[in-house]
Amino acid sequence: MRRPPEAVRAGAHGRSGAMKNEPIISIRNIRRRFGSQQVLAGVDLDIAHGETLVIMGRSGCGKSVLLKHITGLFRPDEGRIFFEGEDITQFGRKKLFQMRMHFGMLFQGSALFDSMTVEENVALPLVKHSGKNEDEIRETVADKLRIVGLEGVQGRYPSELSGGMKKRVGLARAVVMDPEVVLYDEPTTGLDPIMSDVINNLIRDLQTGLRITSVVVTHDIGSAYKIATRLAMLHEGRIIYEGTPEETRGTDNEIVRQFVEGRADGPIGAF
Amino acid sequence: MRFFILLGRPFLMFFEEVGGVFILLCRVNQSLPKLPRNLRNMLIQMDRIGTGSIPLVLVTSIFVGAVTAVQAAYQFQGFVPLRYLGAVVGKSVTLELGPVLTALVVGGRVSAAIAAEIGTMKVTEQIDAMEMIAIDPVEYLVLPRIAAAVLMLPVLTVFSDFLAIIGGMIVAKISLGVSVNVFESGLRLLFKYQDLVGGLIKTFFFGFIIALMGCYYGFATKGGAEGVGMATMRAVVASCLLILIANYLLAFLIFKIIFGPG
Repeated sequence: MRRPPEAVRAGAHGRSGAMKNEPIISIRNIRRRFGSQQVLAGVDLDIAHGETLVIMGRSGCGKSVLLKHITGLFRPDEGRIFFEGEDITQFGRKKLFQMRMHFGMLFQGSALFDSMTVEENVALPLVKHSGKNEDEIRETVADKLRIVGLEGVQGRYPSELSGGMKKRVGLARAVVMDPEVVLYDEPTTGLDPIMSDVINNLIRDLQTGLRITSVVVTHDIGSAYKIATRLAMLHEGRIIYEGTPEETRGTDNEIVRQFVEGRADGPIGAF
Repeated sequence: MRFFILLGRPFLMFFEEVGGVFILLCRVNQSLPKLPRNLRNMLIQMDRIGTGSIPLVLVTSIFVGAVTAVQAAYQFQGFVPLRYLGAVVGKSVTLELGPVLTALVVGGRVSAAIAAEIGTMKVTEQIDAMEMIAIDPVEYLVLPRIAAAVLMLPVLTVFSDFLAIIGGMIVAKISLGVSVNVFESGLRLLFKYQDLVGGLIKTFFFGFIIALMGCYYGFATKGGAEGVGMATMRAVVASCLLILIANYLLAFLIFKIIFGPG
């Protein structure tokens, strides 16, 4: 097991309460190339316990790729990723699966299993890993669906749901195992402004109510300001900015300003 | 330089695919002890692959038997009495036509369906979602499909052999004037138990090839709808080619070495 340099310096051992002051996730110099394209070119980022970190950036800049590295779905060409002090880039499949029990993820297109009903989708992690009986599972599923504002849709198939409903079912599935970290990949993309706000409120409620650590990838600035406790910007394969929403509003970083103001002219080329 | 790139790319792609199939095979092998946990999935797949293919196999087999009888009768003209028609139809069907044609038609249907289903799951991130909830896609998707195809193809082949012989018998009776009794006695005359067994042994391997190719190309899918289409096409082409190649190798092994003379 290798720890991030700060953890070693601080003399941290094991998953103790003292570790709560340390980042839950540390990313160190992650590099990843797809063909001739260097998508991640040395990403360094710390994610604290209980915070909602929003990673902004242009479409195709590597935000989703970064998210998939955090969960071990992708392996970096170089660099290390630490979850609670353990280097996940060294994990085999079994350890990765154990680690993912602590994670939930809402995918961009919801990624619901089309052959299963809403109830079966949300229940699947419980059926596979919780050891609960059928009644307990049904109750937990109904409870999570109630949290996301969906009751009585258990028997429907994903093809019978609207985009917003799919996102909410995806969110219910992401939190059904009460994870420590929830990752959101473009949670409001393709939704109308009202439904976007519903999703934003749900993300914020999960953070404030359950103290879940959230990492949100988005280019929706309104959403970012509403839910973030901290913002980071990914540009040309690196994290070029980190700050609170307040700091971001007043930043003099030209790249960040151009992005949040949505201007075509500036240091970021439009094409 | 450009010439070498053009020449080398297909080779690289070929070896990449062989390597990919081999890696998938290793993961299937590792997941094998977990098959009992996925019994429900396997039964669903057995129904889809087996029961779902019955109408296709039914029509194909009857006409294959019928055309075999017609072609044999044509070749017998002036040389061989028609009382041997049953023998030729029985031999052709149990040794080759039943197993191979069933594998080809079921392979087209099943490997395409598997590749399209898994491919769509891949491009819509359902495979990633499965990984995120700590479910191994190989154990959950691939293993039940391979097990179901391996078990169902021999059953479909027995069904196909029976129907093809019936098809041949009907044509013999109606258009060639060979009675059922004569056809049947011809069938019994040269029937050997190992012909049927040898033909059926091949189908276990054919079932394996069909599901493996469907799963491999499903997982290898990239892009969107076009990628799913390409994956489906590649799965069908690869499974048909491998069935024909495996058929030769298995026929050589079974009928020349195991059941061969001496």
